[in-house]
Amino acid sequence: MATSVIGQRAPRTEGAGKVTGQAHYALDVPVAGMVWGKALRSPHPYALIKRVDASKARTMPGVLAVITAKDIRNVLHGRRVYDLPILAENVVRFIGEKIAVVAAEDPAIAEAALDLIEVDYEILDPVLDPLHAMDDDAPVLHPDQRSYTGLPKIPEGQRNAQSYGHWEKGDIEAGFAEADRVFEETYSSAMTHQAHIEPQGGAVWIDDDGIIHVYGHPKNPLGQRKQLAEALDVPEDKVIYEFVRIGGDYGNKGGLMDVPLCYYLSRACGRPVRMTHTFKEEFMAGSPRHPSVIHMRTGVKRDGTITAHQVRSIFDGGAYGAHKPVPNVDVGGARKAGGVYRIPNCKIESYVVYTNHVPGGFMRAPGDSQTIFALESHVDDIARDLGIDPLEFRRKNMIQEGEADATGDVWRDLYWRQCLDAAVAGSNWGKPKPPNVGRGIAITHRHIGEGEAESLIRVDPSGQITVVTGTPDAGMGAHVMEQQIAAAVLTVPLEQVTILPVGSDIMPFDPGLGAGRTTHVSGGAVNAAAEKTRDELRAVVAENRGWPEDDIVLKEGAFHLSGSTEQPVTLGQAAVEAAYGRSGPVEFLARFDGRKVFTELCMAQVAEVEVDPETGQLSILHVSAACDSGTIINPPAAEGQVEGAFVQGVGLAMSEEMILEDGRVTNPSFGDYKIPTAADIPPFTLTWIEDAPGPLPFGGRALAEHGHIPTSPAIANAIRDAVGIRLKSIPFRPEAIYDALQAKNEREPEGR
Amino acid sequence: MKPAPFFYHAPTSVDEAVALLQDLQEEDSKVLAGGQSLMPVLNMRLARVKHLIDINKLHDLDYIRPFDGGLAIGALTRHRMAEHSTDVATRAPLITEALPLVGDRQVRFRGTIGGSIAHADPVAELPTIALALDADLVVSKRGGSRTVPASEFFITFLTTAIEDDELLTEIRIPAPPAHSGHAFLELSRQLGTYAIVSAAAVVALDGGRISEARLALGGVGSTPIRALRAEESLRGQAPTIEAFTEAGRLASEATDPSADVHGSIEYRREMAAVYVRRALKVAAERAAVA
Repeated sequence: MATSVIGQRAPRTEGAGKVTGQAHYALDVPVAGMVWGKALRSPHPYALIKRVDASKARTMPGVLAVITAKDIRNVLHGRRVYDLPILAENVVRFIGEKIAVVAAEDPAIAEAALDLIEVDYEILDPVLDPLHAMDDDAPVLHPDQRSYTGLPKIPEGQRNAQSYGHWEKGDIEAGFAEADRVFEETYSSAMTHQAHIEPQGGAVWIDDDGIIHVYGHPKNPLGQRKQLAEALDVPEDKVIYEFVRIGGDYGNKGGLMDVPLCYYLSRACGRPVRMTHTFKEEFMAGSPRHPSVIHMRTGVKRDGTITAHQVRSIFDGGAYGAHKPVPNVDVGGARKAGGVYRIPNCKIESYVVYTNHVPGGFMRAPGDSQTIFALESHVDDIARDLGIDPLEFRRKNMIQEGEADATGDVWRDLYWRQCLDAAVAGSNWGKPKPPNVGRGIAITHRHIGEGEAESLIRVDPSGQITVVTGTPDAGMGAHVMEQQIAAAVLTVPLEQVTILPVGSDIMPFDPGLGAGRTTHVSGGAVNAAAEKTRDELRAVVAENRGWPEDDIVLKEGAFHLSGSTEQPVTLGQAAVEAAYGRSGPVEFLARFDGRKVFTELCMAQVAEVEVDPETGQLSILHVSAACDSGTIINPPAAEGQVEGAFVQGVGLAMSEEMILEDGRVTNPSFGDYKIPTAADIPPFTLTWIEDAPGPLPFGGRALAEHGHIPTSPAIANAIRDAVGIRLKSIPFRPEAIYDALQAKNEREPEGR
Repeated sequence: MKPAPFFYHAPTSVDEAVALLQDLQEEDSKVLAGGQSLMPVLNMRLARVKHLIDINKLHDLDYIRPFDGGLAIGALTRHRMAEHSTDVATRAPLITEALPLVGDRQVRFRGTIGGSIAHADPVAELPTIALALDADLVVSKRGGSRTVPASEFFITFLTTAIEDDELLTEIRIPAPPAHSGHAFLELSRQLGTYAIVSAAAVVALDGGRISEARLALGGVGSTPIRALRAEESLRGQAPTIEAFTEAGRLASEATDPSADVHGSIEYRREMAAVYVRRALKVAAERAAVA
């Protein structure tokens, strides 16, 4: 089969539209008569609402509608656990929780009207420390929790638990008894924001037939349609999540956020209504990455053999669990606390805890970056303190094909060792180094996103192929990937394949973005639909001509009878024949089931840093990364995923931190919340292991989720190598490095 | 976001601008130059003004020329022009060294030298530089102008000696001392962001001894500060690390930093000492070969 378009640096199908401003995002869809909605938000982290009086706002000139909790069907909703009211009614649980919304012609009028809404609060003592939240004397933030729909399994009597995870293997006490040494440490990480360019928002237009058109962030259009229909108590087919572009997602945009309020305002004022977060609102009331406190205790033999590993992870889930999309309402990475290592006796416990902070959501490989920062820092210290080269420690303890990991899972198709060795080969590991320069390794494993999807392919008489797709576009190149797969299977040039993104009313089934599943599942569906197109048209050609089907090959977009001079039949001609000999088009719908995958991916990185011992300033000199990509369909998209994730990893390590004081995010702007800029990014060497066949179309492997995970521990390990200090909390502020250096100098006045 | 409504004025001459300033001095007015600090504040509605006087049409204030052995820089000169000016590089190299640290390239194409100095943000580079270079700031009003030395110009956070009816029109930089070297060093979380601490140094040598040292620090008080005791301690000294370390200690004592998310008071103080010492060392090394 000709697969020449696979691996081409094909341009994005949507690229020209995006760079010329033609592409539509939620807030710039041209719907006539659109007005603005704005939200009144709680200034208190925890308070009872005694009274809400919006009467003055309702009579303000220019105000079209005012909605409070009493004006709507104020249900609890959520992606899995339904614990979040559409508007706060009797209690507010975080600074930024919405109490009322106003629609007006002009956003400034809407904002001015918010000032006229009177709210009386009875302020309560907030719960701000996730560890304290679990104590028996902590206030119970959700007293009705047991009645919530979608409640995950949580231990009886544990205060303020949003969710709980527990994995055990072997005999942990016996494992510790066997150990020569036991290492114990606690690591922590900050709350961080996904920092997508487009803030969360949405627009709703109710047409004359009562159909609710939603211009939101259709990251999972069918799932969001279901969520919204349920929250509004309308049939799903009355809701259309229209196709619009998404200005970055990174896990944040799968919920409803302000869409139900746009609906209620629109219904009240008879006009289409849009709302969007300012970035201040995005920071105070988005759905950021969970901060963590992770305790690890590990028993080892003198030779570095791990005998026991015990982990207790606490994640600050904030005021609501509603933004988390998984049945356990947890951050999946917690169970990876054993990493890539052979651990016979293991116990992992993980809690997500309710506090009065902004509710946590998903961000790229949720839980993984926190957990792997802890683990890879911890094993590095163990190796160095045992006098074992950290590279050799990892090689010795890394599980092999067919071995079970710390939780008993058995993975296949492992290229972990190759990734580690390639990352090291791309670095200066083992070479002499100047003073204050150090090198650190970190490695992670990662699953491939699973699911099912359908794809619809239409063939016109001209031979033009149209892929009718419901795959969302959050900027990662999904559509050019689908174009390349369809073109490769049908042996046509890229221009002969049109990608037609459509809304939730007519799209084939698609599970939406997330967990690095798009190329695997949605791409798999396109592959299946293209193969079905090829096979069914071939059957038509065979039947109409009496050619043996097995002797027909599709090449350059036409069916040829092998070894004959018969005129080839183009895809267009075959389509006409398939459409009863009339004009066509003809369509083929196929389903792909990608639910059971055991291939486990790897990302290894080696960082080289220099520390200024007088100031704590940290310079990243170089990072080498390697991952088992398998076949790459679109190299720029693949590079964008891993390099973009790496940049996020640098942000996690160096600067990104939502600073929380008394429940308030004190740096709610990109002036004070520092994401890396181009000048902050060190030289980055990326090695693909392409000879690593995987379950994605044409033998690929997922790439989206893990590029950032090893970055912060690799840097932390390099800092220890450079100046002998261990940083246990991300991000690494220069002042923290400085303080650690001062403390070390006091401990060891003679220097290292 | 968009700013709250204001009256917009776009004078085309300095005379017209200062006349407007005088007419509007009882009202709430603000001068717009490059807008790199003012526009975000207005757009985010952290501040509102009734009158905005846009001086971008005062092309007469966009110049760099030799003046009295030193330099005269028009207030509306863009950072980017000064950054690449050979006159600036030879007569005030401290400015050339510091400008790449101001914002990013886009900011420097719009931002103005006068705007940065008049904005008087103590963590910004140019106010600190103006202080270290003993610059004179020419401010004009209807019917005349006056010259304010940099040492008297910065009153407190975002506040200068410019009166409501006055406009900063020119920055005069005296000729550098003979056999002198300079250095500007800055500690910040990222390139292009505000300084946690910055240190600007000019050191002149005569016969192997320091004949003059000038030191200014940014980010460690409500204005940029001159470290006069540290300067005094260096006069007549050999340019040794010991002398620079002592000067750093004295300079650090002169600081009055406040804490923010990027650094504590203690850290800023300690870094002030380190950055002063390092800046003096670089400046003295350059002076030795000047």
